Amino acid sequence: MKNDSELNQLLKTWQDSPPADPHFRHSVWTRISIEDGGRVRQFLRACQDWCMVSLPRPAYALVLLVFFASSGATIATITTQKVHQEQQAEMEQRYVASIDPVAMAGKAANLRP
Amino acid sequence: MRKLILLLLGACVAGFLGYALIYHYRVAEAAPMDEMQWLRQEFALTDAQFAEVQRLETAYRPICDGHCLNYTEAYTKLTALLKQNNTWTPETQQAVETLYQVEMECHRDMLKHAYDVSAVMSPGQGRRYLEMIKTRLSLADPTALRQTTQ
Repeated sequence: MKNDSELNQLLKTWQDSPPADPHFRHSVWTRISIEDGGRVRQFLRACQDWCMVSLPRPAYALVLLVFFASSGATIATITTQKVHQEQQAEMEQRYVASIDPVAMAGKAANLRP
Repeated sequence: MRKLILLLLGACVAGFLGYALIYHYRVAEAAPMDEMQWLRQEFALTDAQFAEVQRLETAYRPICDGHCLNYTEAYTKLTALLKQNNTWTPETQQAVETLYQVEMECHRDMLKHAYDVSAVMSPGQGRRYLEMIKTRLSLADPTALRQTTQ
Protein backbone atom coordinates (compact mmCIF):
# COMPACT_ATOMS: atom_id res chain seq x y z
CA MET A 1 0.00 0.00 0.00
CA LYS A 2 2.75 2.37 0.96
CA ASN A 3 4.57 1.60 -2.25
CA ASP A 4 1.43 2.27 -4.23
CA SER A 5 0.93 5.67 -2.71
CA GLU A 6 4.56 6.53 -3.34
CA LEU A 7 4.18 5.36 -6.86
CA ASN A 8 1.03 7.43 -7.28
CA GLN A 9 2.78 10.45 -5.85
CA LEU A 10 5.67 9.94 -8.21
CA LEU A 11 3.40 9.52 -11.20
CA LYS A 12 1.61 12.77 -10.29
CA THR A 13 4.78 14.77 -10.22
CA TRP A 14 6.49 13.05 -13.12
CA GLN A 15 6.72 15.01 -16.34
CA ASP A 16 7.85 13.69 -19.70
CA SER A 17 9.80 16.19 -21.80
CA PRO A 18 10.90 14.43 -24.98
CA PRO A 19 13.42 16.27 -27.20
CA ALA A 20 11.82 18.32 -30.00
CA ASP A 21 11.86 16.78 -33.46
CA PRO A 22 14.67 18.63 -35.28
CA HIS A 23 12.87 18.19 -38.64
CA PHE A 24 9.47 19.37 -37.42
CA ARG A 25 9.67 22.92 -38.83
CA HIS A 26 11.14 21.73 -42.14
CA SER A 27 8.50 19.07 -42.61
CA VAL A 28 5.69 21.59 -41.95
CA TRP A 29 7.05 24.00 -44.56
CA THR A 30 7.54 21.17 -47.02
CA ARG A 31 3.87 20.17 -46.65
CA ILE A 32 2.79 23.81 -47.10
CA SER A 33 4.90 24.27 -50.23
CA ILE A 34 3.52 21.06 -51.73
CA GLU A 35 0.00 22.39 -51.12
CA ASP A 36 0.90 25.77 -52.66
CA GLY A 37 2.69 24.17 -55.58
CA GLY A 38 -0.39 22.16 -56.29
CA ARG A 39 -2.53 25.32 -56.36
CA VAL A 40 -0.07 27.11 -58.63
CA ARG A 41 0.06 24.13 -60.95
CA GLN A 42 -3.73 24.04 -61.05
CA PHE A 43 -3.89 27.73 -61.83
CA LEU A 44 -1.26 27.45 -64.59
CA ARG A 45 -3.09 24.49 -66.04
CA ALA A 46 -6.35 26.50 -66.10
CA CYS A 47 -4.57 29.39 -67.82
CA GLN A 48 -3.05 27.07 -70.40
CA ASP A 49 -6.44 25.48 -71.10
CA TRP A 50 -8.04 28.90 -71.48
CA CYS A 51 -5.31 30.03 -73.89
CA MET A 52 -5.58 26.89 -75.99
CA VAL A 53 -9.38 26.64 -76.08
CA SER A 54 -11.03 29.98 -75.40
CA LEU A 55 -8.51 32.52 -76.65
CA PRO A 56 -8.63 31.48 -80.32
CA ARG A 57 -12.41 32.10 -80.34
CA PRO A 58 -13.27 35.09 -82.58
CA ALA A 59 -14.44 37.42 -79.82
CA TYR A 60 -11.34 36.97 -77.66
CA ALA A 61 -9.05 36.93 -80.70
CA LEU A 62 -10.47 40.27 -81.83
CA VAL A 63 -9.95 41.79 -78.37
CA LEU A 64 -6.34 40.56 -78.40
CA LEU A 65 -5.67 42.02 -81.86
CA VAL A 66 -7.20 45.36 -80.91
CA PHE A 67 -5.20 45.41 -77.68
CA PHE A 68 -1.91 44.78 -79.51
CA ALA A 69 -2.71 47.34 -82.22
CA SER A 70 -3.61 50.04 -79.68
CA SER A 71 -0.54 49.21 -77.59
CA GLY A 72 1.62 49.69 -80.69
CA ALA A 73 -0.10 53.01 -81.40
CA THR A 74 0.42 54.16 -77.79
CA ILE A 75 4.12 53.28 -77.87
CA ALA A 76 4.45 55.17 -81.19
CA THR A 77 2.74 58.22 -79.68
CA ILE A 78 5.08 58.22 -76.68
CA THR A 79 8.14 57.74 -78.91
CA THR A 80 7.15 60.56 -81.27
CA GLN A 81 6.37 62.90 -78.39
CA LYS A 82 10.07 62.85 -77.58
CA VAL A 83 10.93 63.42 -81.26
CA HIS A 84 8.47 66.35 -81.31
CA GLN A 85 10.03 67.92 -78.23
CA GLU A 86 13.52 67.61 -79.72
CA GLN A 87 12.37 69.10 -83.02
CA GLN A 88 10.64 71.92 -81.17
CA ALA A 89 13.82 72.74 -79.25
CA GLU A 90 15.87 72.55 -82.44
CA MET A 91 13.51 74.85 -84.35
CA GLU A 92 13.54 77.35 -81.47
CA GLN A 93 17.33 77.30 -81.50
CA ARG A 94 17.47 77.64 -85.29
CA TYR A 95 15.07 80.59 -85.31
CA VAL A 96 16.89 82.46 -82.55
CA ALA A 97 20.23 81.77 -84.26
CA SER A 98 18.80 83.13 -87.53
CA ILE A 99 18.18 86.53 -85.93
CA ASP A 100 21.27 86.53 -83.70
CA PRO A 101 24.27 88.11 -85.52
CA VAL A 102 26.75 86.54 -83.09
CA ALA A 103 25.37 83.06 -83.72
CA MET A 104 25.29 83.75 -87.45
CA ALA A 105 28.95 84.82 -87.33
CA GLY A 106 29.85 81.65 -85.48
CA LYS A 107 27.97 79.54 -88.00
CA ALA A 108 29.40 81.35 -91.04
CA ALA A 109 33.03 81.40 -89.96
CA ASN A 110 33.02 78.38 -87.68
CA LEU A 111 33.87 80.68 -84.77
CA ARG A 112 33.17 80.01 -81.15
CA PRO A 113 30.63 82.73 -80.39
CA MET B 1 -1.99 25.01 -80.76
CA ARG B 2 -1.66 26.04 -84.41
CA LYS B 3 -4.58 28.44 -83.99
CA LEU B 4 -2.96 30.00 -80.94
CA ILE B 5 0.38 30.48 -82.72
CA LEU B 6 -1.39 32.08 -85.70
CA LEU B 7 -3.31 34.35 -83.35
CA LEU B 8 -0.16 35.46 -81.53
CA LEU B 9 1.56 36.13 -84.86
CA GLY B 10 -1.46 38.14 -85.98
CA ALA B 11 -1.39 40.11 -82.71
CA CYS B 12 2.30 40.94 -83.22
CA VAL B 13 1.58 42.09 -86.78
CA ALA B 14 -1.35 44.22 -85.53
CA GLY B 15 0.90 45.78 -82.88
CA PHE B 16 3.59 46.54 -85.42
CA LEU B 17 1.07 48.02 -87.87
CA GLY B 18 -0.44 50.19 -85.12
CA TYR B 19 3.03 51.43 -84.21
CA ALA B 20 4.15 52.03 -87.82
CA LEU B 21 0.98 53.89 -88.84
CA ILE B 22 0.96 56.27 -85.89
CA TYR B 23 4.73 56.82 -86.02
CA HIS B 24 4.63 57.59 -89.75
CA TYR B 25 1.65 59.94 -89.33
CA ARG B 26 3.14 61.86 -86.43
CA VAL B 27 6.64 62.12 -87.89
CA ALA B 28 5.21 63.32 -91.22
CA GLU B 29 3.16 65.87 -89.26
CA ALA B 30 6.36 67.20 -87.69
CA ALA B 31 8.30 67.42 -90.95
CA PRO B 32 11.15 69.93 -90.87
CA MET B 33 10.26 73.42 -92.07
CA ASP B 34 12.03 76.75 -92.42
CA GLU B 35 12.31 79.11 -89.46
CA MET B 36 9.63 81.55 -90.66
CA GLN B 37 7.06 78.83 -91.30
CA TRP B 38 7.83 77.40 -87.87
CA LEU B 39 7.33 80.85 -86.32
CA ARG B 40 4.01 81.20 -88.09
CA GLN B 41 2.77 77.84 -86.85
CA GLU B 42 4.23 78.03 -83.34
CA PHE B 43 2.84 81.48 -82.54
CA ALA B 44 -0.40 81.01 -84.49
CA LEU B 45 0.16 84.05 -86.72
CA THR B 46 -2.67 85.23 -88.94
CA ASP B 47 -1.89 86.01 -92.59
CA ALA B 48 -1.70 89.74 -91.82
CA GLN B 49 0.55 89.19 -88.78
CA PHE B 50 2.79 86.87 -90.78
CA ALA B 51 3.10 89.41 -93.62
CA GLU B 52 4.10 92.09 -91.09
CA VAL B 53 6.63 89.76 -89.42
CA GLN B 54 8.11 88.99 -92.85
CA ARG B 55 8.38 92.72 -93.57
CA LEU B 56 10.20 93.26 -90.26
CA GLU B 57 12.46 90.31 -91.00
CA THR B 58 13.38 91.71 -94.43
CA ALA B 59 14.16 95.10 -92.89
CA TYR B 60 16.24 93.52 -90.11
CA ARG B 61 18.25 91.17 -92.35
CA PRO B 62 20.82 93.78 -93.63
CA ILE B 63 21.35 95.02 -90.03
CA CYS B 64 21.91 91.44 -88.85
CA ASP B 65 24.30 90.71 -91.73
CA GLY B 66 26.27 93.89 -91.01
CA HIS B 67 26.66 92.97 -87.33
CA CYS B 68 27.61 89.45 -88.36
CA LEU B 69 30.47 90.79 -90.51
CA ASN B 70 31.62 93.22 -87.81
CA TYR B 71 31.62 90.49 -85.18
CA THR B 72 33.58 88.09 -87.40
CA GLU B 73 36.13 90.80 -88.11
CA ALA B 74 36.50 91.81 -84.45
CA TYR B 75 36.73 88.20 -83.32
CA THR B 76 39.34 87.30 -85.96
CA LYS B 77 41.43 90.35 -85.03
CA LEU B 78 41.32 89.56 -81.31
CA THR B 79 42.21 85.89 -81.73
CA ALA B 80 45.11 86.84 -84.04
CA LEU B 81 46.43 89.34 -81.46
CA LEU B 82 46.08 86.84 -78.63
CA LYS B 83 48.04 84.33 -80.67
CA GLN B 84 50.78 86.83 -81.63
CA ASN B 85 51.45 88.54 -78.29
CA ASN B 86 52.64 87.04 -75.08
CA THR B 87 52.12 90.32 -73.24
CA TRP B 88 49.08 92.50 -72.74
CA THR B 89 49.16 95.40 -75.23
CA PRO B 90 46.94 98.45 -75.70
CA GLU B 91 46.03 97.01 -79.10
CA THR B 92 44.76 93.80 -77.50
CA GLN B 93 42.77 95.81 -75.00
CA GLN B 94 41.26 97.80 -77.86
CA ALA B 95 40.40 94.59 -79.73
CA VAL B 96 38.67 93.12 -76.66
CA GLU B 97 36.69 96.31 -76.18
CA THR B 98 35.71 96.37 -79.86
CA LEU B 99 34.56 92.74 -79.77
CA TYR B 100 32.35 93.29 -76.74
CA GLN B 101 31.08 96.58 -78.16
CA VAL B 102 30.06 94.77 -81.37
CA GLU B 103 28.49 91.93 -79.39
CA MET B 104 26.52 94.40 -77.30
CA GLU B 105 25.27 96.13 -80.47
CA CYS B 106 24.32 92.76 -81.98
CA HIS B 107 22.22 91.80 -78.98
CA ARG B 108 20.72 95.27 -78.62
CA ASP B 109 19.46 95.27 -82.21
CA MET B 110 18.36 91.64 -82.00
CA LEU B 111 16.31 92.35 -78.89
CA LYS B 112 14.82 95.45 -80.51
CA HIS B 113 13.82 93.30 -83.50
CA ALA B 114 12.34 90.69 -81.16
CA TYR B 115 10.26 93.37 -79.40
CA ASP B 116 9.07 94.66 -82.79
CA VAL B 117 8.04 91.12 -83.83
CA SER B 118 6.32 90.42 -80.51
CA ALA B 119 4.30 93.64 -80.88
CA VAL B 120 2.79 92.24 -84.08
CA MET B 121 1.61 89.08 -82.31
CA SER B 122 -1.38 88.71 -80.00
CA PRO B 123 -0.45 89.74 -76.41
CA GLY B 124 -0.20 86.20 -75.06
CA GLN B 125 1.83 84.87 -77.97
CA GLY B 126 4.00 88.00 -77.93
CA ARG B 127 4.88 87.43 -74.28
CA ARG B 128 5.68 83.79 -74.99
CA TYR B 129 7.85 84.78 -77.96
CA LEU B 130 9.85 87.29 -75.91
CA GLU B 131 10.26 84.75 -73.14
CA MET B 132 11.72 82.30 -75.67
CA ILE B 133 14.17 84.92 -77.01
CA LYS B 134 15.29 85.93 -73.51
CA THR B 135 15.77 82.32 -72.47
CA ARG B 136 17.77 81.52 -75.59
CA LEU B 137 19.87 84.66 -75.11
CA SER B 138 20.53 83.51 -71.53
CA LEU B 139 19.24 86.76 -70.09
CA ALA B 140 18.83 85.15 -66.72
CA ASP B 141 18.11 86.90 -63.45
CA PRO B 142 21.56 87.60 -61.85
CA THR B 143 20.24 86.79 -58.36
CA ALA B 144 19.15 83.37 -59.61
CA LEU B 145 22.56 82.89 -61.21
CA ARG B 146 24.28 83.78 -57.94
CA GLN B 147 22.13 81.25 -56.10
CA THR B 148 22.98 78.46 -58.54
CA THR B 149 26.72 79.09 -58.30
CA GLN B 150 26.78 79.05 -54.50
